[in-house]
Amino acid sequence: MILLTVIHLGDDAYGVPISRELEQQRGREVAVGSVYASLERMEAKGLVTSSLGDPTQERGGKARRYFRITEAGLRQVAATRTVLEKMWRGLPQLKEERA
Amino acid sequence: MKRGIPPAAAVWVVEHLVPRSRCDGLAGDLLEEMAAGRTSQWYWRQAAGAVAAGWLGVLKDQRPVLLLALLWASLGPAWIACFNALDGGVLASSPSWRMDSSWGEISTFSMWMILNLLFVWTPVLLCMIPGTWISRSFSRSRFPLAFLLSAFVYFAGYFVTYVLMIVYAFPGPSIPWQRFTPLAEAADIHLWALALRVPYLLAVLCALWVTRPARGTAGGSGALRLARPAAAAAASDWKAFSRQGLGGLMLAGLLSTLFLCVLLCRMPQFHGVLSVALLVKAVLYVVAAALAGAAGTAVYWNSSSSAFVSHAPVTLDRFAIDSAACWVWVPAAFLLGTNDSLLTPLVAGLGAAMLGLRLRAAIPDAATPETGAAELFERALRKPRREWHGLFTVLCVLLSVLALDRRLLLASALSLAVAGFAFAWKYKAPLADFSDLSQGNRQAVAKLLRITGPAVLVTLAVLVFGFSGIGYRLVGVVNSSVRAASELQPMQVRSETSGNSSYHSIILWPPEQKKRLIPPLTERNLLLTPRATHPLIIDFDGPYWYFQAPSRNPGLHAHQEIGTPVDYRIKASGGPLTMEARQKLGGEVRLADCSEISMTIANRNNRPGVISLALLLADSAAPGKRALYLGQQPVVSSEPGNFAVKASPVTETLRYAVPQRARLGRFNQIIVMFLREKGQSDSAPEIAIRQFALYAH
Repeated sequence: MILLTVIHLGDDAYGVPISRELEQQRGREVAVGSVYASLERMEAKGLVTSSLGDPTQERGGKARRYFRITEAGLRQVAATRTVLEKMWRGLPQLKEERA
Repeated sequence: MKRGIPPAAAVWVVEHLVPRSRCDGLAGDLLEEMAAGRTSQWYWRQAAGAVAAGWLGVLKDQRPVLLLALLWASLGPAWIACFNALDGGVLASSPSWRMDSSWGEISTFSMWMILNLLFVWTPVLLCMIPGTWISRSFSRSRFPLAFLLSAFVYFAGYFVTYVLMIVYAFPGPSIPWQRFTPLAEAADIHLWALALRVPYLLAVLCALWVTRPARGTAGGSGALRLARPAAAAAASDWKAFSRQGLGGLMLAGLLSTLFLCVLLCRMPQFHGVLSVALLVKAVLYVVAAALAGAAGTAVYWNSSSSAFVSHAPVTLDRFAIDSAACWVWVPAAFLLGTNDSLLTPLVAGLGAAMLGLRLRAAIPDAATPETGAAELFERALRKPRREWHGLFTVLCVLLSVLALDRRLLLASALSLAVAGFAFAWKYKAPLADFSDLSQGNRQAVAKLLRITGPAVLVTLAVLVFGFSGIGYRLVGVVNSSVRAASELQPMQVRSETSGNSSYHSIILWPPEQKKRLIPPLTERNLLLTPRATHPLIIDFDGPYWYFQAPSRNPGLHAHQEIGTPVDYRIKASGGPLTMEARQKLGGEVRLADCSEISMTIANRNNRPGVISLALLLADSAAPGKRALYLGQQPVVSSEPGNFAVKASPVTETLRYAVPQRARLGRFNQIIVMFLREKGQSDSAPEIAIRQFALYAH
């Protein structure tokens, strides 16, 4: 989900919009710290990269940390999607619902 | 509280307790959200979640450090048991968790501190010192900080645990230091054992944490970890490998093996051990040593400070197999060392030479490229390289001999091991073609098995010689002759019946006594004449008997020891243990001639509880073997007001009045019964009888 959110937000993907997007999609509160932990894990695996923006007054002089998807991340998302679609197709009752 | 402004305490928590790598971005995000209308409660929840998630991630990243600290701390009580065994419980019990304990001499406490710090610093040295040589990712300034911090944390942790334990069970739990054995304590889950582990865990964790390698955020540590290269590396890898901490790897393996030997390897008891059992024991020791060495190497190899994770010329499997060729010799060397044997350096040198040979054969060396065919003139002018290693090897051998002459076995073994390694290293040609390193594991295992066979045989030989006593006597004879020849004072050869000398075990294997023929007793055999002015002194040389209920006298299953109970401990399971001492007089004493018997004893019993000694006079020649009970006297140094932990035996004299008239007319044997309070009867008291004095009327 986080990877999809980062792709969705594009150049504007930093902690606040990512958390808000996830909250909106899931319908419940999201811990920003957990989002950062997940993003750092993905960064270690090479799925995303991060860069620091300029510090702003409204953030108490703290810089934004922007995240961008990498090629490996895109491949991972595509692979996950293929697997998920294959698994969805394997569920008969859901086929009927779709029909 | 203003809306949009976060609580100051929560901000402090985020800025100081969240890992630094994500602190700035996260703090800014939370402030931005607060400005957008979030509540203080939301900020607090986020702060707590961020701290928890942050540290969980960091701990996950540093799993090897955490695992090592946990494992090492779990061995804390075993370490205490080790130095407890070395010094009779004085060191272990000196700062015990009781308000009534004696803090004793400063030297004892200092030694306790040093031993504990040594234990805390060992994993730091193991992991970190080679780390600076490896990748230089540590700054050297971190080592003093790690040592100081771990010392401070250990003592602070110990003090806090000490206070808590006193509060929990005033005046503190009574810890049976004397019963500690290393193996049992490694798995001890009593409250005090767990509490003992806490300061060790905190100290080791702090020290390892401070000196752990810094990990970059961009690109991440995971990326580095995934990038483990293939075994076949560049030809220059060998030199890099040796710089990167080959010494650390070997040290890690050696320390693990030695630690296992301290915990596991024991010479067999002199009775009831079969040869098959000895063979199984030898195989077990050798296999366990190889596994422990491999485990130590693997822990170091995979530790966070190790550069081998990202860069190594051989695989860990291959390195572990080849280095095991040395570890299999360690049990034999250790057992010989504990017996003070002159063969210790020889076996140590042999093991080190094996290590040198196997490593040299396994790891590719830097190719020394020839710059084409050199001209004859040019080659003639070239200075030959100095072979310093030859000089170094000879010096090490000389040092070993000198150390042996001074009876410094450890130094001698170490010197000869270095010499053996250096010689083997230069003797064996480096591996030229290392393209099939990954396929070489099977061959390496076969070679290891060929080395393991002789190692098992040598270990078995050590165990067998120990079993029959030949080793001790041989070493004793050689040592005595060396000393006599060097000092030319044969009459001044010291009797070494205590301490760490090999003569310690002579107590267990006494030379057979010649049979003495005792003629029938007549009146002339009376030992004590009436109105004698001097007492009859009889030095105690009889046996000590140990037996359990329902026996009331030493029977077929009783255990007999000759020597002094001060130097050994006898324990029993499954019921209380009864201890007796018996002295045959070699003649008779008429009861009417004796007014009093005094008995001199040496008490080194460090378990609290009053001990009394009862005296019986017996006549083995009389029908029915009559005995006369003279009463019991308490050992003063065991009474609550006088009890203290004893580093050396305390001498006391107990007196018993002899009645003038009794059914027993004369006696030729004195029996001493050791009586103890309930709750301490599973082990025999460490009290020895020195002599009896019989006073005439």
